[in-house]
Amino acid sequence: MVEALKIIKAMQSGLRHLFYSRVTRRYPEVDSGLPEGYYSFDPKKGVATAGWKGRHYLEMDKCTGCQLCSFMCDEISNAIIMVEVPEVRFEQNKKSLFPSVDYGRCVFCGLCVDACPFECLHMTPEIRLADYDRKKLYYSPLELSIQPAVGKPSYVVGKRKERVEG
Amino acid sequence: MQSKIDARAIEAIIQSRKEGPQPTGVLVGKVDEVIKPKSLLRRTFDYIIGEPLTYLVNWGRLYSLWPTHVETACCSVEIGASAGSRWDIERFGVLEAFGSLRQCDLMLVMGTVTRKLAPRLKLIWDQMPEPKFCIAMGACAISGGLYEQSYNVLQGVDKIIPVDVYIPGCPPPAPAVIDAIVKLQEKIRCMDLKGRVASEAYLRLSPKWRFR
Repeated sequence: MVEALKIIKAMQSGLRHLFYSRVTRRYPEVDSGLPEGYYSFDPKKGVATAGWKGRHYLEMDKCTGCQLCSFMCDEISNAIIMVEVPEVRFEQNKKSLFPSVDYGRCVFCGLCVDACPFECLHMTPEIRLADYDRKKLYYSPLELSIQPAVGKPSYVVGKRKERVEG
Repeated sequence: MQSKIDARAIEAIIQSRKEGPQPTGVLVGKVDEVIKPKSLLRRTFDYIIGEPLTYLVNWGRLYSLWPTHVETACCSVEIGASAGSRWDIERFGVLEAFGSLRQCDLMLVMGTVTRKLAPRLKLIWDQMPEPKFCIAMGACAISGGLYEQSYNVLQGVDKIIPVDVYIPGCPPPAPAVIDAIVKLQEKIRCMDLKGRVASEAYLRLSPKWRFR
């Protein structure tokens, strides 16, 4: 009798899993379902808000080229290099120096965002940065100033795409 | 997070830069040869037999990416997470653990590669049969990362083995790993029967111009 009860209990615990909802997130087809929000730092209050630390977003019309982000990064991983962008001219940035990030070196610590006194460097929830070429991981300031399309799935699995993203 | 600059203007500048003189592309992995114009007989043969066969073989390669894990640092924790039930990389045919090197296609290098480990890494790579692919995961594997100019750490695994896909991050989260695997599958779709991977410029062509 006890033996039979044991078998029934084992069957019960196995059958229970049939009615569980699915845990797996079908990620590249469907949105990842992770919380949105990005890491940011308010220099006036000295308060940081928690969130995703992904690719940077640069507001070029606020950046003055003070190089504080670059100095901060020199001691961490030396990923930020200031480059000149001759196509863009702003009043507050006479030399038109802007930060460019090498994502092969960046460790996404967020100290460059803390160091920025003008709130022009942000971090976005964009984490899909994988690429075939090492050189494509260098992001110029112009590429950084484009807001990433976050939350939209970019791949169709199992079907041929028209064009490979890069 | 709103900028006053028009995003279209920035994209126009980037486009104008791309149209200028570009450095000749350095090809990653197995380099393709110069594409020669084929004869009519060869083209008809390719159309009837070659292309369906390539598609079939590539389909087999796509969903059986059995990896060797070179776990040296914290990136292996994220592989553990992506092999778990929430982000199940076995959906794409990537197993979480596998025994023999002789039956593996993919090498996942996660973490710092020291100078002492480097010859062993090359030994593992040489034991794997063709076609084989490599994913460098994390800042340490791509470029040395935090251990920049260290006497003991290899400055990027692409100095000793060809890398197919780079995943930036420290460590990259599980969705980023899945995205890299999907990108690698996109690369395998463009492969030849001989196992040659097309160059990046060739990858960017629309599928109707591939393998004709």
